[in-house]
Amino acid sequence: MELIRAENLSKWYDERVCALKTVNLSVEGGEWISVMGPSGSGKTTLLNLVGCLDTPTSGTLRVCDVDITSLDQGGRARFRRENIGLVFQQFHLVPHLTALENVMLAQYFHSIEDECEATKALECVGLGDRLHHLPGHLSGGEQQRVCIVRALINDPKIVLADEPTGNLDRENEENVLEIFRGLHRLGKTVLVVTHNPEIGELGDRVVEMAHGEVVGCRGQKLYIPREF
Amino acid sequence: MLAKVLWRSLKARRQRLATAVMAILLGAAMVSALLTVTWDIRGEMGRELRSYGANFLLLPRDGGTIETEGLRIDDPAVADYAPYLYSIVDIGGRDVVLAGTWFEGARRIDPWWKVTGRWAEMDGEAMVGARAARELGVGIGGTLEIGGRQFKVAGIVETGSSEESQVFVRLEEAQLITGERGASLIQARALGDPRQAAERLEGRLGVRAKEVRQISESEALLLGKMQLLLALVTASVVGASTLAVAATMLTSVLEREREVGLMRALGAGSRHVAYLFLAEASILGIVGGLLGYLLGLVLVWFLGREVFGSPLPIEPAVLPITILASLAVALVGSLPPVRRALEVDPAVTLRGD
Ligand SMILES: Nc1ncnc2c1ncn2[C@@H]1O[C@H](COP(=O)(O)OP(=O)(O)OP(=O)(O)O)[C@@H](O)[C@H]1O
Ligand SMILES: [Mg+2]
Repeated sequence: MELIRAENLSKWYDERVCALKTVNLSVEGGEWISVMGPSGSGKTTLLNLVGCLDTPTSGTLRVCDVDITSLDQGGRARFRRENIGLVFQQFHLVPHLTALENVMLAQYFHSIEDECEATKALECVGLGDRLHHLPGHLSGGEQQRVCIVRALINDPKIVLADEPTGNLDRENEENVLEIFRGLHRLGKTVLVVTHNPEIGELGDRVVEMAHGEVVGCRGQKLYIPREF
Repeated sequence: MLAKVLWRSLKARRQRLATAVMAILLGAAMVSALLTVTWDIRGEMGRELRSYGANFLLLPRDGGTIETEGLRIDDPAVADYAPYLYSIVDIGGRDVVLAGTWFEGARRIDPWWKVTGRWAEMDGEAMVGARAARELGVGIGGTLEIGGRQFKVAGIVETGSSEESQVFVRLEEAQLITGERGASLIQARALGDPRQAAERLEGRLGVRAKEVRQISESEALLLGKMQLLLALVTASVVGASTLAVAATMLTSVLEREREVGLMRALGAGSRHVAYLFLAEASILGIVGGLLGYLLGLVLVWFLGREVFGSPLPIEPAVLPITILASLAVALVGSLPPVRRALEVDPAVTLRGD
């Protein structure tokens, strides 16, 4: 089933900077997509649009069968909490909340907190003894695992990860990638932005970007709209 | 969860929030002090009105009563006077203070009494204090049996003071009922300084004079002016504290833009974000209001001692009003910052590092 479909998607900042121009992309449910490209090529912009954090300047974007461009701010928030899990390079944990509370915060916005479930999820990634630590007292790898658990706790259909291992050493990188492999096996749709070709190769497909355009696609075929 | 997030973030930023609490506290202290003083001024005004009544009392020198047989005070300085004989009588099974007086004199001394119906005039007529009337269950036109005599209620008296639990009849009838002669005291009103007239009468009637302390008009005027001044100061302090709250909360929102952006990214709706900041503001408002009320008590105590020369009574209703006012200051002050928080763009705040 097609989960993400972008047609002629473009994004301009301040009517001068063109971060994305006419991107066409189709992603099937359960695919692992690696997004690669030089700095400034529009990778984060693309992820923000798919994650409904931002609105495109033109073009159409359907995610999970919802026309994202038609949603208002409240609708976008609702869409995000229902469908999207976000993993950041800088983790973005709330500094004054413990690991457990950071996870429960996502539950709170989604529906209701379930401390038991959150605890179990953190135990699954080896953080059972770090539940009540503040982010400042966790290592980068541990913080990233909290961030991933938080992204997954509401069972999103799509996981968007922007350089999830960019701030991690090899060992922690491997831990995080192992979690992503597990997600992939479970059939989650995953988009991972990375500079590391080795990590890129883990995906079913590698989408190459440059200057706001998709310039190449290894793996399966690039989606081409009918009129081309 | 909201409570947890609130608690943690309050704890993490307690120094900054202390500023906001201080701002609210000062406003609340002014509000509570003003309210207490205002409340008391009503009482002061009542006491002040009384000064149009008796300004000295004549009391028997050695217990007993003052002879009223043929009593006439024709001192040029004494404008009005009325003898009173007080005793406790049984009316319908209740003990009630019976006050016998000369209604003509009493009426001239206390023209401010609020009388529903009319003043009693003749034998067989009584006036009943409002509280006594309630307890005895009588109204205007009703009858009372006192010491075997029937009285018709001509009017109900409200004075805001002890008179309200008394029953008034003509002095001569009270004397017959109680078997007493004379009067317990004489209320008198002198023109100008009552002291000289009082001294003259002490010698002539063989009584003891006692001045009734009154609040002069100038004092009442001062109270009014002070009330106005306090109201102006309070209005500006409340305005200033609203601005201070707005500034503090705005800084708080700016500092937490990243956190708010993150919450947005996690799917927090406008509702979640607004609740968070408004709940924070409410806590600041309530805490500031409580502390401000306490500071206000100190202020009131000081004002009472230094300005009024007697402690001002503490009015319990001031506490909830002060807290509500502080809450309003905190919430109004938070509206601009909350609007700002709702405009946070997650895509922008989460970018960068
Ligand atoms: N808010 C913004 N206002 C103006 N220009 C922006 C804004 N956000 C991004 N851009 C520009 O859009 C272009 C694409 O940015 P984007 O962050 O998507 O690149 P990226 O591929 O993620 O780069 P990197 O690998 O360095 O993270 C860049 O030229 C960037 O300067
Ligand atoms: Mg980027």
